[in-house]
Amino acid sequence: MKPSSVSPIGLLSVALLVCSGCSRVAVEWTPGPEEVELVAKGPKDAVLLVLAGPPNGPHTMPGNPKIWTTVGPDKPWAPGGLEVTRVPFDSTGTARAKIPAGPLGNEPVLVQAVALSATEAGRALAVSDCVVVFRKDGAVVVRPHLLHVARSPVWWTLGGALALVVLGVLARRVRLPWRRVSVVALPLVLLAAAWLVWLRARAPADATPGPWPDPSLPLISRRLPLPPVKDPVDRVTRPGFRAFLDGVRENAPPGETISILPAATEGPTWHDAWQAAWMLWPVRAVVLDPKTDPWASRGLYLTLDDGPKRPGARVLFKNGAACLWRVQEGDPK
Amino acid sequence: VTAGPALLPLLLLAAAPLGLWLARGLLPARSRVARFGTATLAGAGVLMGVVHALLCVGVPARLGAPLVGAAGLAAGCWLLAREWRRRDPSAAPARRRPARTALLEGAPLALLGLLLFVPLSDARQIGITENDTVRIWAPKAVRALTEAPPRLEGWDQAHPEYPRGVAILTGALSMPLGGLDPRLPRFVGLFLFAATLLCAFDALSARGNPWGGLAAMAILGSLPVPMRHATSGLMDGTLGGFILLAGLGLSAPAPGRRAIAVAVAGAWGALATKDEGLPFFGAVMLVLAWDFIRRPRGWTVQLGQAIERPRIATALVLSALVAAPWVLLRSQVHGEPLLLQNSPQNAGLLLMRADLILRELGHLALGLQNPFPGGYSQPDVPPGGDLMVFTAIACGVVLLVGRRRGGFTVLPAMLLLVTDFFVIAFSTVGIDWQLVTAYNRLTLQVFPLLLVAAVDKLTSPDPADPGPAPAEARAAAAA
Repeated sequence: MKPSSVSPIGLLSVALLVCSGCSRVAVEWTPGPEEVELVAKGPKDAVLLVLAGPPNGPHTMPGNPKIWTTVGPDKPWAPGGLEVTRVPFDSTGTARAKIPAGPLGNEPVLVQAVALSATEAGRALAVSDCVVVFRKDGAVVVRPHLLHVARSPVWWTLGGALALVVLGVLARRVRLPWRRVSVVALPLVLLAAAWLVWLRARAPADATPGPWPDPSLPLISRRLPLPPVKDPVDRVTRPGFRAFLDGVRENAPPGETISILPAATEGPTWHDAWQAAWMLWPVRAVVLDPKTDPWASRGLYLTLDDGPKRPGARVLFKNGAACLWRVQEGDPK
Repeated sequence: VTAGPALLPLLLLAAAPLGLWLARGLLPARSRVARFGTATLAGAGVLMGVVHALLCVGVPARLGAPLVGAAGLAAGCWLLAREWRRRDPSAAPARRRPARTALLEGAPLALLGLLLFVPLSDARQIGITENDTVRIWAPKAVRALTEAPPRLEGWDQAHPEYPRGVAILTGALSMPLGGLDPRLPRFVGLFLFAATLLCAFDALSARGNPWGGLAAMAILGSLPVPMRHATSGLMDGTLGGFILLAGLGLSAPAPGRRAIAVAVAGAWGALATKDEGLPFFGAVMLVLAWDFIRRPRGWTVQLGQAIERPRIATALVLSALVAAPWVLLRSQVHGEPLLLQNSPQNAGLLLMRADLILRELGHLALGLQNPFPGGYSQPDVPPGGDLMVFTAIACGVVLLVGRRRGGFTVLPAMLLLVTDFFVIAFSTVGIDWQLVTAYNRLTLQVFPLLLVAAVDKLTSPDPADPGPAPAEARAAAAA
């Protein structure tokens, strides 16, 4: 086979098929009037877990995130699925279970089986095809989820996209007299460019980004609604930030890393913490999770509000808005 | 050995001579000013790529940047001088008409000044304010000089998977000043954006279309989103410049080693600029490798028209050497897993996700119905109404309709978009979140190349058009 005859899509398809075969539970679904019977073939020494619920995945499995399902626990935007039953595989690698179909209405419910390791708690080994179970004319119907989606209005969107692709392919075949096109197009393109420059020329002098869509940037003059501070550092932080940084840098013991403890992970405090972290260079600084407990370890800390977070800590530098302090071994907790 | 801080800006000084040698003879440079922009991008791409690779194998940029910068400066000057000596002294210099020279040299410079006057004055007054610049890029600019290989874990490493190329440039400029001035990330971004604008003019003026070049410059420099990004210290606009450069190399009408070198310089620059640069780098390498395999009748790019196989092989090997350290290091960062392993079992959900992606794109770009009412999309990015996205769509339509020989190669940029579409579809993160953060910056990344390619297709004179056939030939053809 020539290398040029191997398409990336072909390679990807083969890879997907190989990957899926490694972690697949083959399940035979038999719908009855009151229950759905399933026979699963899978790994020995495993437990079959059957989940039912809405398609709110993808859910990666704990212990093995490469394995994932369509049905699973709650997501922020959708209710989650339920565990329906749990049965062990026998010595021949077969598991049998029955799902009651009595409460099933006309609304389809997704069902999917997961093989869990019996030895490693919670570790998923394989998953089955996702199926849809619903009642039609009183009878319980089991259908592959793929087929169910394929019969839904999804095809309006996908068909529309496909039509656009076909249109694009056809458009490529159009033959245009480029010499004549360029005669007309060049003035049009120049006009479009001139219009955009004109938008910049007309933009108000105090135009700032947002709300969306962004306004054009002024072309000639710009009056920023900022205080006339000469130090650019003060333009991005609070006034006096430079003096504060200089003070910290002077008082920090050489060679030590400063751990910055912001009060929150949002708002100006968070912004200030990161500004301070990189502007303290060449003094090394890191920003800690606000949940970090400074009681737990000794070190050099910087807080951007009031004093130290630990009584008994030695304050190395303090001004109105920030404090550099040290925790040493033997300090009271 | 620790190089003095004063030597660090050599990295930037070396970009122009090295790039001028790389890009020399790529296209007939009708505008020296514009060629300077292309050359600066090319030189910066190569130098950033090499210093970044050294950083990843443990050579701190504090040492690597001056060494590579000095070597690049010396080599660039020597190679340029050698070519200057080799030129035929008897060949009369081409006569340049004053009006045309004024247009080709003065107009792009004047337009550049007009477009960048306000951003430059802003950058002079205000430090960086964007969240990502403060949290992601500025800390990397500080640490890229001293931490080798770069640390990819810890709270202070937001998005550790991003490469440190532009961070090295920023750090190399800041160190002699004694600290990272918060305005510097904006200046570096603006400098590279200015080079991108000149490169756009160069790409079109070299094809005999200076008016189209000026239009492309004006459009790129007037749309709000590219301008805002150019002054923000964010990397998407910079990445767009390197993507344009690679497209320029792959589309050179005169194929040869210079075309390959410029394409590779763009790919290296992209690789060292941002995470999306990695798939783009891979796409350029694929295109080159395809050309290598399919020679002598390459259909993707015009490089295959010349006997360039050894040079393509050299470019591929060198690129692999430059990319390997970062790729290996980057592979240690484990993000969210891709949903590949059980995709056949969950094919229904994947179909639903494809549907949602298309509808969300329609919502964000065109303002169609929101498929995620009550989802967790960012509230500050309302849909539709963005001039850049509309212009990009128009460029896409222009590039789709009809074939025209000798146009720009946009295939690697399209491969980048397809890769990202694939990653979003197979990602565990919510589709609305992924697309809200991705669609605008991805558009920005490919926009300069799309714009130049579309303007070229619409407005450049057609060298392949034979014009009306003579009467005898028509009669012979009819017979």
